[in-house]
Amino acid sequence: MSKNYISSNIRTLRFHKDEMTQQQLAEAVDVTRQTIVAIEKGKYSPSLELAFKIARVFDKKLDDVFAYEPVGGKK
Amino acid sequence: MEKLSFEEKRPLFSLLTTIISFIVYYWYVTGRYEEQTLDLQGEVEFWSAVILILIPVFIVSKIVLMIILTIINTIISGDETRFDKLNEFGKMIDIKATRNVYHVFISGFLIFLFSLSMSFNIFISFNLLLFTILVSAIISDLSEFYYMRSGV
Repeated sequence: MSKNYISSNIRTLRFHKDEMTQQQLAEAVDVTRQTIVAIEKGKYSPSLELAFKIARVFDKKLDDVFAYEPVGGKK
Repeated sequence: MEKLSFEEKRPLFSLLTTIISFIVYYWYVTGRYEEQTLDLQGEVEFWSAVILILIPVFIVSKIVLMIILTIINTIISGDETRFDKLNEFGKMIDIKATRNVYHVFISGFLIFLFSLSMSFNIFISFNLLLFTILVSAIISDLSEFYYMRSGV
């Protein structure tokens, strides 16, 4: 299993956006709730398109939502 | 253990459907096989037809399962999520599961060809292929469940 180095703070952003549910976010970006769950848990790195869509929902820049965190110094 | 979401339950229901439909179908065809006295050509034709019919049996049983699951999910939770809806995460899982199925099926198919070349009994050879299809279908569902849980 390849490691995902993309972390996100979607959960925090959802909380600050009137406690938006995972389902509401999923509908806003046209994916299933399971996809949002996987991204939040760091089990799936979203495509660039989906990442931009999510950032747009929160009215944030991509960097404010996602971070690239390589493990073990590999870049 | 963490509660399973409906999307995680879907491959498990699919697995159950695959196994049940295979058992029922296999029980039916072996019954038919024992009733008949077939020559070599007849046996090849019989088992070829069995394998050809198995594929639509699996497809129809899965479609029926999808419909039933969607109805149950809508009634219980009021959520109108379609289980067959694939987004990029689902597609990635689908691709990886298909890759696993391909490896299993090709291995089984090579064993089937080997058994034919070694002049094994036709019954044994075609049953090897039949069970290869079953194992491939099981691997597909288990892979989907695994990737849904552990991520891709």
